[in-house]
Amino acid sequence: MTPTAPAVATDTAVRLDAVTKTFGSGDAAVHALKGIDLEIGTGQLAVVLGPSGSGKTTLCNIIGGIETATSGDVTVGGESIGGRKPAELSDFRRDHVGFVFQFFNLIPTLTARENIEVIIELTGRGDKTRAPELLESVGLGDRGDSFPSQLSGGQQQRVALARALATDPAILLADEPTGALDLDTGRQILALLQELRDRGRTVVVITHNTSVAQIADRVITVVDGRIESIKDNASPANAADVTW
Amino acid sequence: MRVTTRKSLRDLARQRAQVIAVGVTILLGVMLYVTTAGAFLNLSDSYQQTYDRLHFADVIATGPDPQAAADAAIAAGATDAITRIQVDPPMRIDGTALVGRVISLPDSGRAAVDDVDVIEGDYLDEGATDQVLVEKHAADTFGLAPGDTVEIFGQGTWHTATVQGIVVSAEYIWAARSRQEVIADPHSFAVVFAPESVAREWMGAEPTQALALLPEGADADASGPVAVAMRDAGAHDVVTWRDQPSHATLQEDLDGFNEMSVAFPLLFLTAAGVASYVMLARRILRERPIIGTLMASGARRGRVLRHYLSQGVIVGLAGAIVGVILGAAANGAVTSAYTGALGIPDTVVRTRPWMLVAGLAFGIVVGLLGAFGPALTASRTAPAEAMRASATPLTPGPWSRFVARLGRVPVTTRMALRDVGRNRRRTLATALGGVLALVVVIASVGMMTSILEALRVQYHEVATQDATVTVAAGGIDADALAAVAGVTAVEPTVVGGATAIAGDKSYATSLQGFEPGTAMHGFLAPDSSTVALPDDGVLAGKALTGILDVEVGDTITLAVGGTDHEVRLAGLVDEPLGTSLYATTGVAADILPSQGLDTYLLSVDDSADRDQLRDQITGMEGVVAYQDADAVVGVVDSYLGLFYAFIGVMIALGSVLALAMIYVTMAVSVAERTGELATLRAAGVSVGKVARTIATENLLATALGIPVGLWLGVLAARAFLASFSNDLFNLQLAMPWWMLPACALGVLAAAALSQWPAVRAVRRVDVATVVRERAA
Repeated sequence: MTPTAPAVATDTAVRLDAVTKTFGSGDAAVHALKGIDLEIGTGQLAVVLGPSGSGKTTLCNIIGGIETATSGDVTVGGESIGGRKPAELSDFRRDHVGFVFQFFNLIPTLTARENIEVIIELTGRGDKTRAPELLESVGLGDRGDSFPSQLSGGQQQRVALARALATDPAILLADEPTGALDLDTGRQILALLQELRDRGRTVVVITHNTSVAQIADRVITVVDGRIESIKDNASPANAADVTW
Repeated sequence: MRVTTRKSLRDLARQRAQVIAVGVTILLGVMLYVTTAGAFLNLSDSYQQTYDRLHFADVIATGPDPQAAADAAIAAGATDAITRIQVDPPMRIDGTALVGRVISLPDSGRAAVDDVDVIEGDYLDEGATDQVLVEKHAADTFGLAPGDTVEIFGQGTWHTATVQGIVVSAEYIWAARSRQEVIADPHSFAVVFAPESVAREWMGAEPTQALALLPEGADADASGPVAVAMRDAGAHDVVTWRDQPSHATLQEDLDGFNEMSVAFPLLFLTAAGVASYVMLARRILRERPIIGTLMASGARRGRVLRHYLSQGVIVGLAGAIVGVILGAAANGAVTSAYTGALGIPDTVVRTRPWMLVAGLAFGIVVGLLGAFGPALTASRTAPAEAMRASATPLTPGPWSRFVARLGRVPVTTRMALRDVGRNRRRTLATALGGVLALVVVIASVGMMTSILEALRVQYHEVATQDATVTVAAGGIDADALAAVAGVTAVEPTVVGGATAIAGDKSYATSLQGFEPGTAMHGFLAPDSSTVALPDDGVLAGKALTGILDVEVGDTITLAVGGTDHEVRLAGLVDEPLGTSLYATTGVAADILPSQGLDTYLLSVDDSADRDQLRDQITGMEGVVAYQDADAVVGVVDSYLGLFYAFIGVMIALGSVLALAMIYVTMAVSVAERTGELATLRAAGVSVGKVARTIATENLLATALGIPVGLWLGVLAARAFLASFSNDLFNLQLAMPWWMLPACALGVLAAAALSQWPAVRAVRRVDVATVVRERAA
């Protein structure tokens, strides 16, 4: 049974109503999401927690518009994204969402700065001259000319974070952002995510790491394609205090 | 510079070895196109410039009343028409007896049609009575220079003429006595030009020919009505510029050049497109997560498509730019080499901007086509799918299940066998590399071996005489020739020009008579059997049936010297060179008018010194010409010299193509399985063993293409040979039995060699890094 989302957000950034997602059909059908109702308020840092295969990444992808729900309604930033064409979803992502992935997915042939600029160039949104500023904001102001291979894992993830911010998205979706990092580096990334939240950005973190949930304003636990619980955290921990 | 452009350039730089391989293949294709197509056009222009400058006749008519034919030509639209004397008298040049040709030039002024170009010495002095101009080929053959003398037989006596100058004639750029004698011993033919009054006096001849010139820029078919008018005016042998022996021979060569200027570049560009596809497909597979990230960030499909297309364009354009530059440079060199080798007086080397643009466009199009599939795949990448950590393992197909049951086969071999079916596109691309390489190599080698075989058949099975001797009638006889040391057999023969006519179609050819049961000529039937000379009627080269639209048993007309003879087409022969008519000496002698000459065919002992024999026989009283069969083969070799060079270059380039194409697919094959290979090495498998596994798979994929490559190669060789075949050359594909296996082994060897960089890549794999990344 899906618990009712607590009404903490006066301004809703993300709203999911009875969302399902099924991969395949017939006997081979896999029901990744089985009716999700969810609200995430603007400026919240929400953590979607769940074990491997629980459907949390699918949930993240549906919120971000890189996958479409089989049924139900998805509203992000006040806009319903159900039934949109791929090109319209591209525009939606460009205008509203930034992604951070576990394996960074930086372009190895571009420098840190260029990895940010390329998104601005390809989407036509944002300002290339802001690239150094974005790198500065993630603590890599002096590494703009470094190629990914010259950066540590944490630094690469910070570049990925700066890249996600290149189009100035209202919502940042981070899928296992600390999954490929050691504890200290993971904490630094979480701290940056908290900073972004503090600056008013909505941040959704997908993770299987229960410790990461300590930094969240809202913790949504997904198990077997259903929301098992939604808990609001009145006093989230500082990233620096989190351990795993 | 845009960041996406920088990304493209750096991506390509990271794959530089493969990019270079693809770029070089495009370069070769474009270079070949610009070189050969440009040279073809330059050569055409070179011929045309010479023709225009020397007023090359559009129609030449021979008959009893040349003036009437000339008047008819003017009435039919010719801008100029002249008459002249052309006779083939015995000559003696530098001690060699031969049947040459005397052509008259106007006593004053220059010829309005078929003028000559003096390249050494001076033009004829007005009023001179003993001066001649010697055509360049004869001057080269006999080492003649202005001031030397030649002897010309006419009116029963020898006339000594002084060489006033050496000239080039548009009619004899390729020195051929007739359409059927385009390949002859150069010592057996010489053309001299004499003032008309002198030719008239020496030869006792009146003008024999009318030459007509059409208006400049006239349609290529405009010569038809003029030719008809000249024929109607009594001319019995009318030849348009298309069939003029020199022009027709050179045009054959040129046409073959034209065919190859399209076909070979096409092969290279196809290979380049496939290699480009393989290379980009590999990278796009590797970049799937990045593409997913870009699209998740809002990049639209069209933008992603354009980004990857641009990478193909960059490679295509880079290869094409270098190809165009090299091609433009080589174009001039090839044109000059060709015109120099054939002695074409005018060499037109022109760089055509549209051809350079076309070369660049080919490179771009190949790049685009090669990149289109992978780029489309990239643009259709579903972001969520692209970023899933692990793909679902492929369900094994029937092939994999079959291989799995081969328990006695080593696992590494089974792995290689299975991998061939795992990535079908890669396997196909590897196989295609082998196929294209085989097509280039077999087409090139096949043409060469076929031509050599054609020459062997022509001069060892068909025209089996070692020499042909022409003597003044009533002079020395066969016994005298047979008594010469080294001569093993002598047979009389009768030979002369004849025009075969059936309905409204005609064909100027030669009729030769042999003794029944002759040992000097083999008559090969189209079904590879041999046929005997008929007691009546004639045998004809098989092409005649198509030219005249006749069948064996039909009656055809032979027009000889203004007289028509009805003869039965008794059978066909299949000969590599020429489309001649054959009959018994009795039948031929009844048709051909006596010219006061007897001709004998000689067989000589293998150990005889051929030059000494020539000197001895031509020194005999009454001998007017001697043609050595070996010298004829030498002429063929010279005719085909550039062709052989072209074929040699093609074989070399075919090898480069094979190496480039297979290298790209091999490199991709290794790159796609870095993880697997690293895992094997982490488990302690040696580099050598890993490399052998990869090699087995790649060679297997290459081997898969070999049957198709052999088949297509043979088809391509046949098609090329067919494009060269006509009434003068009848070329059938002939290769020694070991040639196809050798070509296949050669391509496999090239494939094996191409793996060296891939093996190096296996050696360079950072096992720890790769395994750690995969584990993460």
